Amino acid sequence: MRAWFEERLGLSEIFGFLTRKKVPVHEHTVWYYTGSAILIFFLIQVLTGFMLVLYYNPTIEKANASVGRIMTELPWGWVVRSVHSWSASFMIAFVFIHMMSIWITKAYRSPRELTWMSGVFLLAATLFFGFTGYLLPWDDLAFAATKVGTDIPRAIPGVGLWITKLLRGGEDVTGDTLTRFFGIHVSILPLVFMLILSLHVYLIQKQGMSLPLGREKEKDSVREIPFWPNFFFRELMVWLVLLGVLLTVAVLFPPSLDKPADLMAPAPEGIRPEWYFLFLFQTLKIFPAEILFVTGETVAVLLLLAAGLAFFFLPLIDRDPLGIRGKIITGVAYVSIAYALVMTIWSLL
Amino acid sequence: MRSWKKRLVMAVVLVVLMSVSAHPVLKLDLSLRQEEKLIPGPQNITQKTAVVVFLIWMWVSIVVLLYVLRLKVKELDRLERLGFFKDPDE
Repeated sequence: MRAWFEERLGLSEIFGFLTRKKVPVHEHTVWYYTGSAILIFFLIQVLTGFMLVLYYNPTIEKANASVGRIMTELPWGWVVRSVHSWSASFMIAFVFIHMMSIWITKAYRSPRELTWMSGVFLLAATLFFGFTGYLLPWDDLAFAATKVGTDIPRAIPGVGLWITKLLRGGEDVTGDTLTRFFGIHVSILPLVFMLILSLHVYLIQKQGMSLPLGREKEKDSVREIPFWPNFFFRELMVWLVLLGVLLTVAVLFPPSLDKPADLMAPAPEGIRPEWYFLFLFQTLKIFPAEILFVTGETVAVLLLLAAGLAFFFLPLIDRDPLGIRGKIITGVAYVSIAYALVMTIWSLL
Repeated sequence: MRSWKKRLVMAVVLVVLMSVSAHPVLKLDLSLRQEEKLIPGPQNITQKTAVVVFLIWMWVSIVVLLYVLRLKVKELDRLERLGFFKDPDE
């Protein structure tokens, strides 16, 4: 039986490759676990998403009721929905942690620039997953938050209005927006995500695990362990704990469902996006209405776009990681983390 | 040191058990529509019991598996230091 599979699949070659793949052991090894944690949460998203899509109905008449049915009529439906929702939050949190750890340890330095850039695309895709998924229950809060969210690109001069219309499928958030978001959430984004993820994983395998900047000089003295089986079993331990925490949180704090969205009703009080957009939301809020004959929103959106571009091209900007510029860029990483935390807390107050 | 670790594990287990038994989600009347808002949770006493039993079983299994995996990792590291996983061609 083993020989039959071996002849067809060449499993020994795969295990051989995984044994030859080495993982350095040092004080920052803990950050290596964040990458596979994201993969685990993505897998949970796919599995629970398959279950939910069987009962979800992406029309304005039935979307809210179908989510209500999943939560009340289907056996353990509320747990499946809760796991899907919490797993999304966990996944996004780990993507942020993963990116910031790479930024601070400067793991994006040559020759890993493309690995970083594909990672930024994955971050954007993950956030877009969250944004499109938030509207699907079609309740009051989701509707109002999507209205605000899709209105933001309008501030971009030139193409802004076109982007807003493209996202909404028209002038306003309607049933077309719901269908569009559903299509993007369950078919376009997973496909794009899988393609970029394949490239990202391929690049990691090709370049190997990066060493922290300080350890680069003593490369030969750093202890290495084989990925299979030594590192894999360590990762298994981390996955188990994360799975336990996810299921516990999902069972104890399941997300609720508001009444169906009313297209004609005024926006409810306390409109707020998901936690991972709060720092952007608060940034937009603190800008004044007008700055030098330009609307404050336009300035804020353009600044955020510039910051996003700088984040994407970070490996090309940080050409001298050990020099003064490199140290300033590391400082910017810490300031960014502090800024995001402060803005998020401020938004919640 | 070992008894300190055991106490910590026991404390974590106790906190989990207390949270599970006291959490409002496990109250049966919450799965009804309240002021137009649907708050999910176990829908009957069987589900409520199942949730508590499942969480306890899951955490006990995780602790046992972590213990076994820790032994496995230690053994694998010992074999690695002995050169067991080295490529014979190297």
